[in-house]
Amino acid sequence: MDIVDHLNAIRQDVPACRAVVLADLTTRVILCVSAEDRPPQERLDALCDTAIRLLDSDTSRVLARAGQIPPLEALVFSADGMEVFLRTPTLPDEALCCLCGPDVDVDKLMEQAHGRLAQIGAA
Amino acid sequence: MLAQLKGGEDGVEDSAETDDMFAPVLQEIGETVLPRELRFRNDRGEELALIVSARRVLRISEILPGALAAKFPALAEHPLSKDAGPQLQAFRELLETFFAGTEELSVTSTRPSTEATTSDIGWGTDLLTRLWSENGPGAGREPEQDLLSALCDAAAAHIIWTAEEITGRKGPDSALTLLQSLAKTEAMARPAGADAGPVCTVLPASDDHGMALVDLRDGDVRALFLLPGYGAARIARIWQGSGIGRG
Repeated sequence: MDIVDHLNAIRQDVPACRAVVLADLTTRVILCVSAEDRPPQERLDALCDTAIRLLDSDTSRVLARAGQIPPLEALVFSADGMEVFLRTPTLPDEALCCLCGPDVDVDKLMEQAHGRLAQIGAA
Repeated sequence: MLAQLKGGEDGVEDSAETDDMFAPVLQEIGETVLPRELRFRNDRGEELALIVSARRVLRISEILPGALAAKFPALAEHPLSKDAGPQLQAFRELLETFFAGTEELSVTSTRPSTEATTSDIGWGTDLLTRLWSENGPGAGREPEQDLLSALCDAAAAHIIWTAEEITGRKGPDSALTLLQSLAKTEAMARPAGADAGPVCTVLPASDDHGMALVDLRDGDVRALFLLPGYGAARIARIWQGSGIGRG
């Protein structure tokens, strides 16, 4: 199964998820995109930058010093919808970024995305 | 400060008139950043005193005369953050009674006599606007809970800034110190292009024992929260419950 098939499967299972992106956080490169209407490259680059800012920043270090586990997930909610970011310890350089509508089922999205990311990492 | 707030057409008691009265009251609340007691007085000499800070009604400090106050026992001198539904309905009824037949309101703004306002959450102007709209409880629907109030209720600790000045905080000193440190970190920098409407950035708790970090921005109001054991879906439900982004 190709990476894009995994990303497509997330969108199929979670209808309010409009786009799924796999990004390399160390090189800031978009590796794969699944979307009915592909967002412009600037939008994808901005998404990657947000993932880096939220998942790989000094905030994690401050939380770690306070005894908290550094975050593997992050979300941004706005009137336009939700951006959801996640990564897995087995694939620490890469992150899934999802663009969703405001009524997305986050429980289902997280379950699907973590499962698919684990399969991508194991391939 | 004493100001006159004009109402609707002479002698016409209808919903349009009370709407006309509500708008300037809402404007006074929306322009009040530092803690103040806003005391509204109508043509009949009735008075309604509100403790307002950071554009939020924190408390109804006085309703005069006593006969009017007696009709709304759930309101005066009670915190407004908990059990908001029945209190909001009572507040709407109080305003409707207060505005009825009134052509002109006066308002005075003074320093509040009580200092215990920073731990109160209260009601923001967004919530009050929805309360007053056709979709409010008067139309038979419970109002969606104000996002800031919902997050304050759920949080173990929070700090609220208005125009970079702290206007509310709650929680143990260690958590407040942590929030102060986190406020300056890169992840909590304001998202680019997020100037329209509220934006909420969330780092969910990794497990039941962890803490979720939530950063809410809305205009010049910023609030940081620590929520014990809150995962992504649970925080998303709070956001979705506020109704922002729908319709």
